[in-house]
Amino acid sequence: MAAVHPDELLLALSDASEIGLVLIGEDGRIALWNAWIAKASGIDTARALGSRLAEMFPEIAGTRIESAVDQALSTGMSAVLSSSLNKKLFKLTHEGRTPAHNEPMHQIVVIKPVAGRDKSARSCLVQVFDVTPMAHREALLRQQARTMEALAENYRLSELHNRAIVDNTADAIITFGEDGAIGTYNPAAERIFGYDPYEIVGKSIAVLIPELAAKDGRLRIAEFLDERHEVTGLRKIRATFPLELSVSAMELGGQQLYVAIAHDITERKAAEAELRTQKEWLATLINAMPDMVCFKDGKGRWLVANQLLLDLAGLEGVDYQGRTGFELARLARGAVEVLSSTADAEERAWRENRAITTETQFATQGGAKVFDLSQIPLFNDDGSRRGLVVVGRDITERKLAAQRIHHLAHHDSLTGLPNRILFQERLRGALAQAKRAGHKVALMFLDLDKFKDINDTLGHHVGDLLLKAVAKRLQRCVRETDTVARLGGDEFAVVLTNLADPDGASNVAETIIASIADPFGLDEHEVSTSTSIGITVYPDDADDADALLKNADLAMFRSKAEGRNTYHFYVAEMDAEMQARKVIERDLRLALGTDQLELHYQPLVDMSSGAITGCEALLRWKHPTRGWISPAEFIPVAERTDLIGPLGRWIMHQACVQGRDWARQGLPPLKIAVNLSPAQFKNHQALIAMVSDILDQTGFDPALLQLEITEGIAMQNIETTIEVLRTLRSMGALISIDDFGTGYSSLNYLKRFPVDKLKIDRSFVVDIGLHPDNAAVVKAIVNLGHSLGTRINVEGVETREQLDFLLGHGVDEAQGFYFSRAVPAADFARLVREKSPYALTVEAVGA
Amino acid sequence: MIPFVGEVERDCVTEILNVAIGQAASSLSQLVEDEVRLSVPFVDFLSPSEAAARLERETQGSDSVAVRQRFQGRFYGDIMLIFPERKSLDLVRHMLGDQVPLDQLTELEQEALLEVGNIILNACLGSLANQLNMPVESSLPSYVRGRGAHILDLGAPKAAAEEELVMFLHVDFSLLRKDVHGYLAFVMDIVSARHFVDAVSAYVNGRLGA
Repeated sequence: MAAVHPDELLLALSDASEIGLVLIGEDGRIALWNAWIAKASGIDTARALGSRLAEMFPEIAGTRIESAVDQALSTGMSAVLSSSLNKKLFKLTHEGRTPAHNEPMHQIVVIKPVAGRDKSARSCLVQVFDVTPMAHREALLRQQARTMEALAENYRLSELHNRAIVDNTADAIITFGEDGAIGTYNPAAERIFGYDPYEIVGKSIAVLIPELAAKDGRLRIAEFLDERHEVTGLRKIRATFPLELSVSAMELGGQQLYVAIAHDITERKAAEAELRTQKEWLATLINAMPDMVCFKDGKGRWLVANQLLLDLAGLEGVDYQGRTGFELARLARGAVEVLSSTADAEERAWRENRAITTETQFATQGGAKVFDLSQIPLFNDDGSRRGLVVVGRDITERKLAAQRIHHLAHHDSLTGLPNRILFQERLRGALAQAKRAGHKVALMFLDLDKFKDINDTLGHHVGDLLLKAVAKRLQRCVRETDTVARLGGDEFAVVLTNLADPDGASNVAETIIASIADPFGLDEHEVSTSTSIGITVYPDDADDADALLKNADLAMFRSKAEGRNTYHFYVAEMDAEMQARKVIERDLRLALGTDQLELHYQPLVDMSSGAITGCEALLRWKHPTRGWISPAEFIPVAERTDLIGPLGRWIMHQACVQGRDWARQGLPPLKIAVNLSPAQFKNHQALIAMVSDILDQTGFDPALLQLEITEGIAMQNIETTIEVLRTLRSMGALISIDDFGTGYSSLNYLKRFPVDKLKIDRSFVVDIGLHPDNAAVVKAIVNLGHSLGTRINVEGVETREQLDFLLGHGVDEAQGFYFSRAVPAADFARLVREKSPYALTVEAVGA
Repeated sequence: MIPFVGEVERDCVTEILNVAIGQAASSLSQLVEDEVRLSVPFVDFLSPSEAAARLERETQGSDSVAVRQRFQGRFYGDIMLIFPERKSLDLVRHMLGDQVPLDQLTELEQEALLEVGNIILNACLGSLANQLNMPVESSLPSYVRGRGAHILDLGAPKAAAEEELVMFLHVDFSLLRKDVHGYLAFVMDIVSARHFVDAVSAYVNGRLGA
């Protein structure tokens, strides 16, 4: 083996080295650059040798490596540097398995001074160790350590959580062994059972839950395992309470162990009991209710229904829960309308979020029923449909009552005809329709002539029967579309619709008059009556209801004024008459107490002596512009107003004063007849007081005062009439019945009337020679009067023939133009003085 | 306590060491690119057994780690930077910015601690040499782990141990907003210690003379 040069040996050794070796000479230049560092740095030895370190690794300028090398060279300090702490060490490459795995080298650099031969001259050896694999291993180690720590932390937290759960749960958690001895006992168990741990740990679980032990004291855990059971717990204070218990078995360290988790369900049981009670109440309540009740879910399926609904729908025995109304309708044996008809209302209730009530009618075994069905929607918090409450109220009775009330409000209870209210509605309806169609409408007012007399004489019962019968006949006289109404009393109205011309109305009026004229057989009475009709036509006479009503009234008034039992169409003059009457009323008011009014006196001639034995006082009105006005024109006006009171008083007072004056003037005693109007007679107490007053004031002899009432007045309210007449007679006055023969005097009543004189109506006298009937009537009345002890007077004697007839038939007294018309007081006195007595028989003989 | 130096020398040693430690702090600052402050509140001259007892007491009997370097010059010996083990973990991991749940230093971490120790010890020795104007060389640092007595046991014969002196310094570190404390120990034989003190006296006299 050849000797090797020491330098070559050094180089060979250094190149064989597994670390980087760089020797820096005292001049700071690289003296050794081994193969390892050449490879790791990529800088070959030739290039490195003689250079400065910083030229090879520019990145180390100003770093600790540089200063460490300097210090080693200058002061002999050694230094260690690692990639862990130093960001910039040498730029070297760690060679991986493949070039792709090459990476920056994790290095440890050791810098050491090397003493030279001369003590002061030092070199510096730089050794570089590649610790990249170690860095990788440590990184992995760190990663694993962190993972372990995280797991440990996790375990620690989980332990804490479990502990917290066991400590803070509301459930009692108790572990016990195979012998039942309690091992652990959590705070909730302390709360629930009342024992402190030291009191109970080691004792048997059966102390707390007696059911866990059989009678022989052995535990019977098996039957409680893995399933929840409701058991009874026993508190320290010996109170029992309900528990929900679950027991699970586990093995710990070879020991069999049980965990009991017990939940105090006292409150839940109480709530359940409460809920059961409430359910019971609800069930009792909804079944006791007279209404149908049903709860449905959000899809309209039935949940609960009460008995009433099940009965009505015929769902007895049907499993209705979970089915919809439509499905149930197929199964129902009763009123299926209740089930199927409400779908729309349900949908609306939900959509509009409000209760929807519909009226549903359906047939039941008990007849047709009407129900108000209310659908009340319920919603979940999120607005989805939760359910529906259906309540159905039987409103059948209410509907019937309402119908009855409506009928009563619009119909006359006696005749069943529409009343005034309905009549007015119908009239307006007819007018509106006629206006559209261009037709005419006729409105008729009619009343029964002398109905009051019939009522008074035959009684209200018969009067009512008559009204009912009239109502029927009236309805037969008109078409279905027409309206017959009773306006009150004996007043009726007829609305004829769709008239082409007024002739149609007159035809109906004639038919009605004929129909009413037929006698009525009422309760063994045969009653005859007649009717007066006023007719007005839309749109000929007026185009509104109020005007038509007024017109018809006026027209009817005309028919009555013209002798009744007839009809009149309204004509414009009727309005004028009305106006005229108003004028008369006003003028009469002004005339009262003035000399426009005066009394005239018509002599009453005694038929036996021919002497004037008295007079009838008759009112005369000399109107300042119109001259004499007929009493026929103004007396009815006074009668219809409050004027009759003062006027009547004035007449009587005037007559009595006059009678007294005549007596003072030396005339023979003269009876003065004064007419009492129906209006005066109606207020009979005022009448009696007035007569008494006037007699007192004037000192006129009552025996000379003759009070005349018409037969019509006398027959109204007969008992009162009799009473009043008696009183007047007791004061000394005489009573006579005027217009006798025109009314409906019942002889029975007449007999009881305290009457001194009957005055035969002039109508019987006018054509006395022509009508034998009238003569017969006069004869009969004379006989009647005389047999009742009354005198008979005849009015309207105008001719000698009449006088002779009356003389021949025993009439006691006569008056009329034949003797004298009514004359002023002075003229009358002259008549008495000069003409009385009339020579009756002489002239009769002479004739 | 060995009445080895007078009050004046003692203060002077403290001052010189403070300057040296300041130098070390500056070097460390450069490395971690953050301010590092080190201070030396006191210096004690102890026998090895006293130093071991002190260390045991201060570390409450738990393990410590130390970075040790030999130094050579007119005086020579070992210089050690000692940390309670827990603190060394904190210090290194803090400097590496990596908190790993491992209760011992890994190899690379040991290397890092060695480097930190090396920086401080070199700076310290360099500064001493510079101030006392007498060259000092240092060896590479080594890593020692164990209880107080073991750390300070340099393997010298028992008899020789009686001839040794420990200059014990408490060092407070404040780096990266974290406080760590450690100890600096110069272990020298009596001759070296005498040289050291003489050098300090000369330095003091020189300063006084100046």
